[in-house]
Order: sequence, then C-alpha cells, then structure tokens
Amino acid sequence: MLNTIFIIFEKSYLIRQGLTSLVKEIQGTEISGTYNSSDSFASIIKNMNPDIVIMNKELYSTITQQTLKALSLEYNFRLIAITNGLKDSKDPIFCKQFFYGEEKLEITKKIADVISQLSNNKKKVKDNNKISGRERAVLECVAKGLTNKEIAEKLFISAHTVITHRKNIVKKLGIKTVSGLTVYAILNKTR
Amino acid sequence: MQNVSLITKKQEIASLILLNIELLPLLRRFDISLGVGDKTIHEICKAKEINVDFFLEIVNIFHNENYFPATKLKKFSIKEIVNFLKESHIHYNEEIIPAIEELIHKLVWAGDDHERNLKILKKFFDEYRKEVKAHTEQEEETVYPYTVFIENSCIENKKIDECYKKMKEYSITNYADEHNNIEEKLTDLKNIIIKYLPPSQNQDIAIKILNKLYKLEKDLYHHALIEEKILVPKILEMENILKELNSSEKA
Repeated sequence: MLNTIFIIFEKSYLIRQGLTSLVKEIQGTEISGTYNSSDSFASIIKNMNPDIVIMNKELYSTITQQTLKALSLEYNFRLIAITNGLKDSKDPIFCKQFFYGEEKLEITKKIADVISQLSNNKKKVKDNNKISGRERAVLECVAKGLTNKEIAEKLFISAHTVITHRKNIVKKLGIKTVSGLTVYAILNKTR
Repeated sequence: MQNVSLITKKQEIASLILLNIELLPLLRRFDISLGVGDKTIHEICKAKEINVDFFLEIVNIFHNENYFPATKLKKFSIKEIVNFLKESHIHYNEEIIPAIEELIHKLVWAGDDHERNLKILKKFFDEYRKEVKAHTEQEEETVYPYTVFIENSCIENKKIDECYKKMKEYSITNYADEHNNIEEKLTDLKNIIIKYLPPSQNQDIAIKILNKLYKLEKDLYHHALIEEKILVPKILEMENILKELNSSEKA
C-alpha cells in the first residue's frame, strides 16, 4: 500500500519538529514538507498532492475558506487544525483538531482515525470506479445545463480543471452525452 | 482483415439469412419478402430489378465487421445509395425506434423510485427519437435531393449554372462538418440500463431493449460510414468537376 502523505503548516519550530517526529512513528506515513507560513499554499498542495494537511489555525486565516474548500475537494485531502483549544471555534472544513496541551496518545489516535477514514474512502473509489465528490459536483452542474465556464466560476476552479473532471466522469461512467449524464445524475441523487 | 467470408451472388438468399440473422432487415430495405424458396441472390435481384453488385456490397458490409471497400462502393450511383439510405431511415423511424419505445414503456422497475426512473428514461428516449427524426428529415429534405441533383447535372452535363448557384448556397462540406453522431446517446442508454438503473423485475424486457439497442447502434454505424465515406467524397469530386466546368464555360 502507498504511504499516507502529510504536509505540515506551523509557525512554531518546536511544534513542527514535535509533530514530525510523532507522525514518523506511525507506520505507513510520509512527511513531504513542513512550512512555517501558508504563502503559496495552493501551489504546494498542487505539487505535493498530500493526503493529510496539518495546519495551524493562525495560518489558516490568511487563506480564504473558498480556496481551501475548492482545493481540498479537488485534491481530495483531509485537513487537521492546530488550535488554541477554544472548542467553539470548530469549523467543518477540519476533520480533526489538535489542541495545545494535548498528550501524545490523543494526537496519535486522531491521526490514526483520519488515516483509516482515508483508506476506507480510497478503497471505495477503487472498487466501484466511483466518481469523486468533486466530480459529482461538476456532474450536477452539467446536468443543470451549465457551461464549462459557468461551472468553473461556481466551483472556484479553472475551466481546464472542469474539462479534466468531465473527461474523468465520462471515462468512469461510460456516458458521453449531456442528457445521458443528466439521467445518471437524477438516478443517483437519492442513493 | 480477419475472418472475412464474402457472400457471393450464387448463394441462395435463404442461406444468407440462416448464416446471419442480422442481415434480415436488409431484405426489407431492398423490398425482398420472405418466402424466397431456393432462389439465389442473383435470381432474386434480377427479378426485382435490384443492382446485384450493390446488394452484395451492402450485405457484405453488414456481414463482415472489417469489410468496407470504399473504392468499389464509389462506383455505384448516388441514386442507388440514397435510396438505400432512405429505406434505412424508414426502418429506423417507423420500426426499430418505436419498438424500443414500446419496450421502455413496458418497463417498470422495482423499488420506490420506479415511476420517477421510468419517466426519466422515457424522456431521454423521447428526446432521442426526436433527434433521429430531425436528423433523418434534414438529410431527406436537403442533403439527399442536393446530392441527386448534383449527380444528374454531372452525368447529363446540364443545368451547370443552376448547379453552381446551389453549390454556392450549400456544399456537401457543410454536411460533412455538421454530420453529428446519433449513436452516442444509444451507447449512453445501454450503459445506463446495464449499470445504473436499479435492478428490474422485468429482466426479460431489459434484455430485449439491450438487444435492440445493440443492433440499432451497429446499423447506424454502417449507415454513417456509407454517408461519410461514400456519399460525401463522391459528391465532393462532382462538385469539383462542376466548378471547373462552370469556370471554363465562362472563360
């Protein structure tokens, strides 16, 4: 099986080092980069194509939520936040949160949870040749009759990416025409 | 070319159908009725005043997947080719497609969603029926008459002026550019029924539909091949001859 790829965005050197050594202890993981700022976040994600991104919430505030959402759907990674521990600051875009002052065991357990979610998901994709969440979003737009340009604007991705998604949808489903895709979208809506 | 076994005019017409049942619809298009006795292809064609060479080539194209002798086919007249294409249209619009439509209406899927699913499927096929109808009508009203006119002028060397005017308004290249693929939706429908519709209690109907879709798809493929590889290049050649004639006449 392939290693789960991590990227860490954290200002504090100590926390970066601490997290790195902790993640390395977990089997089947690989850290492809640690960064002290979230500058050029998007291009890092595109180049590294990580499975899990751990990020301090302070750095998160410099990226728009839309960009983050679009990227996480497109590149299909999970986000874990490092936060000061205020429970009310929970944000659905993060699948887990690490709090300052948490013990090693708790953090390890959270990472393991995310990894197992991830591998479950990947299995499903492989077994059924199912379309990804992002592809489904594109498919729904296609079914509604939107043009590539309109889809790109709506989902905050480039027109080129829309075309790539559409090609993949056609390849996976074996359905080429817009009306055929519409039938598929309606049939699969409630399931 | 693999496994090409060409049918010859000395063969009995009955043996042709026994050999490959998928050739049966072709008899209709050439207006040959069953009850052929032990007559050979040659005999039947003679009695019916069918060009036996043309009949054989068409039958062989449909019989052999990889057989498509474009040069040989170009010998035949536009009129013959167009007549065959028109007969095929009648068969699609009046028989094959309504039969599939009827089957789709009969199809009721199990599960809570069956009515909704059925509606979607019906709508999809209804659209398809209209698309084929529009496609064939456009060909019959515009394209085919144009090709026959061009051929006549070319052969009789008459009405060159009128022909040239027509060519300015419409050329076979327009048709070649616009000729869209009406098989794609069929492939989609096959995929939807095989993979994505919830399992049906009427498996026999689903299977019948798939069989019919498969045959129609194959038929349309050959049909489009004849249009694009024979009709278009032939007319293109004639258009060029006519252009030359017209300019030399003026000179």
